[in-house]
Amino acid sequence: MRELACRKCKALTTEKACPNDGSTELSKEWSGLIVIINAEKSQVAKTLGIAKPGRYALKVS
Amino acid sequence: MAVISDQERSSSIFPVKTTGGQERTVATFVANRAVQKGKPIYSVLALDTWKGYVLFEAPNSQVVDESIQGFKHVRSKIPGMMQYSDIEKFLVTKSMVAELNVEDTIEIVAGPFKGMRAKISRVEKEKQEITVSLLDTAFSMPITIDAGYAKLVGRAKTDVPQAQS
Repeated sequence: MRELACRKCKALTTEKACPNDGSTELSKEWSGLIVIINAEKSQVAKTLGIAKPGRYALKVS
Repeated sequence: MAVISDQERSSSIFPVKTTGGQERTVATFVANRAVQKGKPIYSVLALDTWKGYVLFEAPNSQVVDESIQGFKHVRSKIPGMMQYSDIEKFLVTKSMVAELNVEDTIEIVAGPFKGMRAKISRVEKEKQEITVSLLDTAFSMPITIDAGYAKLVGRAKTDVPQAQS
């Protein structure tokens, strides 16, 4: 099933609401996959302001 | 800007070559495997600007080697490593709307008006939208488009030429 990206936190989901913030503002137009495994040690997560592990999009339009 | 301590600098970026079009598959599979086996990979990136490669953020090369082993879509690991600062510019997506001003000339790069030139008449920074008047048409037609569809081709003339005495 196609993943949708949350417009607010950029988390990817196949559900109808974002698993992080419950937002229903989801977009199928996204690019760049980022999988955060260890948010505390990842510099990528720090740069992007991601605090929870999971799958994220780099850009959501 | 946040100050990064020495401990936080301990991760590096390791690029891995993959089969074309399988970057997301590789990123997903290897990330799941790393979680299951408890490998200290911090993040996995499949960026559109890095076609044919997946980037791994990990403390050392050995962890990445072990995690990608035996997966059919992985072609090879690039020897050596990159510093985080090398890829940082790909992560920070600069907002296009911040660079655009009223009266600037742009080229529309996507959508039904692709390839047409237009002059900006309004910039809505909150919505990331711009309203433009098409230059290539016989009549002036204002249209509102996403700022990401615009490529700046000419800045508005801000200085008024002084009259010669």
